[in-house]
Amino acid sequence: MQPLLDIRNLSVRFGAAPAVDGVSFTVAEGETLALVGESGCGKTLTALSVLRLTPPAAVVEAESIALHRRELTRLSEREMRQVRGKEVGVVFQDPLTALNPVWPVGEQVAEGLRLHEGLGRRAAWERTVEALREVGIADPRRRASEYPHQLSGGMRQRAMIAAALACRPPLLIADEPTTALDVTLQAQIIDLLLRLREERRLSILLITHDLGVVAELAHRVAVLYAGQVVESAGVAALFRRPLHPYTRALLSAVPRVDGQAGRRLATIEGAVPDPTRYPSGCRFAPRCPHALEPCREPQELREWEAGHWVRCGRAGEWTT
Amino acid sequence: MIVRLLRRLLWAALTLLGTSLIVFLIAHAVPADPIKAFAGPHADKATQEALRRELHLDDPLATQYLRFLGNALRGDLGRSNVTREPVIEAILARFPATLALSLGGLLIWLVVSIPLGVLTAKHRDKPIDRVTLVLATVTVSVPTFWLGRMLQFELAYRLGWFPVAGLFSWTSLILPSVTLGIVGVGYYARLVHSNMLDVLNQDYIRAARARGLSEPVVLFKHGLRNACLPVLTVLGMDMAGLLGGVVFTESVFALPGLGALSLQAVLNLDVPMIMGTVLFAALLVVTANLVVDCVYRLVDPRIKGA
Repeated sequence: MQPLLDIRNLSVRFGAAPAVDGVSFTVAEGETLALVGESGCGKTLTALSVLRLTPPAAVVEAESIALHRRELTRLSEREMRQVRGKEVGVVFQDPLTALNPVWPVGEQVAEGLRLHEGLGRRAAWERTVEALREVGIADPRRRASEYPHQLSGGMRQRAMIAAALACRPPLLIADEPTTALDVTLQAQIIDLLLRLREERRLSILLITHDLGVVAELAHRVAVLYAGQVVESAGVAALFRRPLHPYTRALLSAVPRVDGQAGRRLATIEGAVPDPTRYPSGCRFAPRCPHALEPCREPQELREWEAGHWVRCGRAGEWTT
Repeated sequence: MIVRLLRRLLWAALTLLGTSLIVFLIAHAVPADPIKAFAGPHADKATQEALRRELHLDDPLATQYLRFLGNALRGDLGRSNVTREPVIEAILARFPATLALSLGGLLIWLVVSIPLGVLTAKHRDKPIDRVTLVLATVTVSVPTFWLGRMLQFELAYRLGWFPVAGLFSWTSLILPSVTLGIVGVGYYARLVHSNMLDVLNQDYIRAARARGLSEPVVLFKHGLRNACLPVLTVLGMDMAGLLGGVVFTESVFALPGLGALSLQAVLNLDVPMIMGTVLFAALLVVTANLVVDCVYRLVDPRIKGA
């Protein structure tokens, strides 16, 4: 089956520094792929590249960025605008800053409907109220006329999801959709996304650093480090048997409710390398507890078992 | 809401009161003797004294001030020492010209500076940005009366494109409006520019683009509305500066407005007229600030209460 979104060899550079370096992945229809990694690993840039929303200073190159087998890199800016909002919706991290404070929330949903579906003002407003209702906002007609600062954090995030999905795009890019929320709201938003995914056969490209969210939402995971995919697998396989030392370190860094009290939190020593000064071989080697001589060579992404890829020569040596 | 309005009106009244007191004191602190200016250099002592008594200029200052205040509240601003016409009538007769000029200047000011600010923010560091920066510095530094004279000489006198002076039709207002407005254009263009740069970095701009909105819609509907808020606050304060520029502009272009009236009053030491025109100007500034305040509340929904 053809994937809905197919990214091949995507690179994003700022001057000479490759923030995203040869990243490839696919998202199938109805599938949720999570891009996981620390801050600065390039996951947001990767997602923004799909819609050409990267900062002007970023140089984006890709062998292919295809949506429904349509090559996005060859589209004009005008054609690209028809893709944004209509074929792909985006939810940003902080709903307080991602919603315009001087326009009512409903207007920010309705303008997309008027643009992409050619609806008149009244029809668009009715659809807006419906959209707000569908994301679980109570009293949607009143809320639609209110401004972002008048809504609670959870409602704002729901409103943003409504705006992103108003025109019923098949793909949703969710950039850290729960990071700015407290735990109870996180759970509600995750439930909302699960429901919408079920109802609309929605594909989701989920950017996050929260492995808990990954476990609940994702079907597949791609772990990014220093601009490269270092491991990619089905979510169950990844959690059951993480292969790359970075992935293993990430998982062990998550504090456990049933862990021993008083034990030190596990951390990964060192810091993400500066893109202008990547090590020539494995980029994780300086921080890796298992680094050996062969790790000085650049590592390739290899399929270790069906559907489970890893960029580490020593991957098979870990026991779980 | 009503409470807010009442509070604003109270402040406005206090401002006017304070202004009247300050102007009164300054007008009477000037060492020149208005009687000498009024009666002429050949009047003898007796005439001068008689005149002084007639104009109540021999009363103590406090009495003079309170009398003035009492009359002013009844709409009587006294009579001009020079022409003997009622001050309030002179002011109201000349107000329309000043209003037309001020609005014209404001129009030029905002209609040019705002799009310019948006454009230079969008095309940062490109030629249009650099040229505007230089122009902004130049226009802020140029004195109003010099610019007015230059425009008058070149475009009206030599090239004959516009009337040289006087108020005969709306074309008479073009050069004066440009003169008045251009000083603010440069400054406001840079203000809008730097605010737009901040705004364009915000997430909601990226979110608007992500919905597929066209660039003009993103810039003007989403961006400008936020970038203009600081401009509105500054505009309130700049109203006073606008009226200051009006004085010079009306003089240069011989427009029958309040600026010329007040300038003449100062030169003649015509105290009632000075007080009247300054107080009226203060009223205009205070009103303009109230209007800007209300507009601000309309444009930014986050402002609540006082």
